[in-house]
Amino acid sequence: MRTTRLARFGDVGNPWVAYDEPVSDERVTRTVVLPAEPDEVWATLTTPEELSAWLGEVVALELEPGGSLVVRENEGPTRRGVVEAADPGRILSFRWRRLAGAGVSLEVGGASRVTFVLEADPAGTRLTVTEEPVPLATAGFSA
Amino acid sequence: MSGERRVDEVFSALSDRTRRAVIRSLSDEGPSTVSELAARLPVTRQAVTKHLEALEAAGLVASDARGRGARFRLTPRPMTDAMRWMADVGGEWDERLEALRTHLARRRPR
Repeated sequence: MRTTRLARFGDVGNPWVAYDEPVSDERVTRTVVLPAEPDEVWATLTTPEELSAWLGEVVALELEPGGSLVVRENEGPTRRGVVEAADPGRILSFRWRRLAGAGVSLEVGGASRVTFVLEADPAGTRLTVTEEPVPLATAGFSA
Repeated sequence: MSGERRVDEVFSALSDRTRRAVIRSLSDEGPSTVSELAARLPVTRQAVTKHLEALEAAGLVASDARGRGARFRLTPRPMTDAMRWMADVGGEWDERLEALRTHLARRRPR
């Protein structure tokens, strides 16, 4: 039901052992099957009220390529990003980065891309989320 | 922040199949010269040199000398940063998806 794909740690003490997977395995991927139709799962990913129940407070969300995304986690950091793709019921992707603190103590995290893929499943919806670092040169943040 | 930047560099350096083969060869055979790597891999010495430069820039390999006799070895520390990133981000998604599942179950009793 849930798969975790990390680079293999291999033998303790030698993280290079068995490093024979393509680099795509460097990203974090999770797959879950949720007991709801894709349209319903889509709503939980794209409406502020629903997002606040599991991701964080939505400060801004423009569901179109180039649209802005700002989410404040509960008593946690704010994440600011840009929507890349929004195909209702099928795929949602955005780049984001973590902002913590303020003023001189502001910390800006590395940029990454998050992609949600929704697929119909006999039990409801198969949701796959992937997060992968985005090279700085293409991060494209102005915020 | 420097750790996260380093992760980007590491992923970029490892995006190339040949560079991953170089890493694997150094892991299997230990510190090696350019000639030794070129003999083990289906690439030229020039290509090995170029890939080693990229890996060195990302902090993944180091050499104790310059020139023809230089031996390159792995420096595993940067990968620890990459693995830490994956562990952190993976943990975040585990928590979020569990919250999402709970949210869906609560609003949609079956």
